[in-house]
Amino acid sequence: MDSHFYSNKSGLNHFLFGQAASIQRNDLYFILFVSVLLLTLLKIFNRALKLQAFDSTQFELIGWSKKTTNLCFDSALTLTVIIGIQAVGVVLMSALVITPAIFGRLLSNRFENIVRIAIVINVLSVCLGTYISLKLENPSGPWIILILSIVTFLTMIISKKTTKASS
Amino acid sequence: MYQFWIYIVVILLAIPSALLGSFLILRKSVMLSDAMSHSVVPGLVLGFLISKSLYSPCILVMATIFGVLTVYGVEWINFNNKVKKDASIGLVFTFLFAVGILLISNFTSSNTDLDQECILYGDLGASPLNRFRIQNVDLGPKALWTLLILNLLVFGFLKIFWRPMICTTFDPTFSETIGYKPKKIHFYFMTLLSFCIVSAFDIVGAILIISLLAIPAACSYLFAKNSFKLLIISTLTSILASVFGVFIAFKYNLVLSATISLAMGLIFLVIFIQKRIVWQKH
Repeated sequence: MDSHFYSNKSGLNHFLFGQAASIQRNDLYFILFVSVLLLTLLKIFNRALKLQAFDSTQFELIGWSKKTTNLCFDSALTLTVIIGIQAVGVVLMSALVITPAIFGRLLSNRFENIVRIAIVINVLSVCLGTYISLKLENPSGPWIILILSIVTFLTMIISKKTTKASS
Repeated sequence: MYQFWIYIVVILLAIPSALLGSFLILRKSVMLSDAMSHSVVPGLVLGFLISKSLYSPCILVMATIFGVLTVYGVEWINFNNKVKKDASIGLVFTFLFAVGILLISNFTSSNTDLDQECILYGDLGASPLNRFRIQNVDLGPKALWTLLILNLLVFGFLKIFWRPMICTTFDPTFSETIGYKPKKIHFYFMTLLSFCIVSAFDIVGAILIISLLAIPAACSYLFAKNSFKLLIISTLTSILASVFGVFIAFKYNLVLSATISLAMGLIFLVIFIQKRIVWQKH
C-alpha cells in the first residue's frame, strides 16, 4: 500500500514547473546553439511559412512542398518547447509561445510588426519576471507568465474600449 | 476492503466524466475542459486559504467558480474574432495556473498537505482513508459522497435537459428559434463540468483528468450511431478501462492515476487500429 502514497515522481516537478536556477553552463551553450539553429531555419523558410499561413492555395499552386514546410515548422516548435521546459516548465511554456503573439496581434495588423512586438514584450517580461522571482525566492515560470498575461489583459481592455468607441 | 473502496471510487468517477465527455466531443470543446482542469487551481488554493481546511465544501465551490470563470474569460477575449478561440484558451488557463502556483508557493505553509504534487498528480491511494464521520459514525470515504452527489447531479441534468441539450449541441440557432435557451444550457453544462473536474482533482490530478473526459467518448465516437448509444458505450468503456487500470496498478504496484490513463489510451488504440483495418477493407 505504501508505494501508492510515495510513488516515484520526484523528477516530475522540475519538468512541470521548470527551474531557471538549475540551468548550467552546458545547458546554456545548448540553448544558444538551438536558438541560432531555429533563427536560421526560420530565416530560410520565412517566405514559405508566411505564404502557407496566409494563402495555402497559392502556396500549392507555385509548387512548394507542404510536407517540408510543415516539418520545418513542427520541428522548430518542438525544439522551442524543449529548450523552454527547463526554464519555465511544460504547462507555462505554452503561454510563452501564445501570449506574446496575442499581444502583438492586438497592437498591429502587420505580420512583421507582430513578430517584433512579440519578441520585445517576451524579452522584457522574462527579464522582469526572473528578477522578481529571484527577489522573492519563488519559481520563475509563474512570475514570467503573470507579467506577460497581465500586460496582455490590460491591452485587451483598452483595445476593447477603443473598438467600441470607434464603432 | 481498501481495494474495494478504490474500485468503487474509480467507477463512480468514470461514469459522470464519460457522460460529460461525450457532450464535450459533440460540442468540439475538449480543449476547454483541459484548460479548466488547470485553471481551477487558484480556486482550490483560495478555498483552502478561506476555510483553513483541506476537506471543506468551500474548496469545491471556489474551484467550480473558477472553472466557470475560465469559460467566460475565453469567450470575453474571443471578441470580434481578432484573437482566435484556441489562442484565448491558451492565454486564460496559463494565467490562472500561474496565479495558482504562486499562491501555493507563497501563502501555504510547507507542512500542509496542499502542495503542487497533490494538485498535479492526485492521490487515489489515499482517498479511502479520508472518512466521512457524523458523530463518530463512519459513513465511508469522503470522496465517495462527493462523487455520489456529482453522479446525482449529472444524471438529473441529463434527465431534465436531455432534449434541449441534444438540440443546442447540434444546432444552436434552431434551438433558439424553438425556445430553448442555448446560453443557459451552456452555463449549466459548464458548471457541471467544472464540478466534475474539481471532484476528480484529488483522485487523478490536474493533468490526467482530460484522459477520463476525452478518451472514452473518443472511443465510442468511432462506432456509435446516435447520441444515446454514444453515451452508453462511452460509459461502459470508461468503467472497463478504469477498472482494468486499477487492477493492473495493484498487481504490479504502479501509480494508480497514471495507470488508469494508460489503460484508457491502450483501449482507444486497440479500437482505433481495429477500425482502421475495417475501413481499409471497404
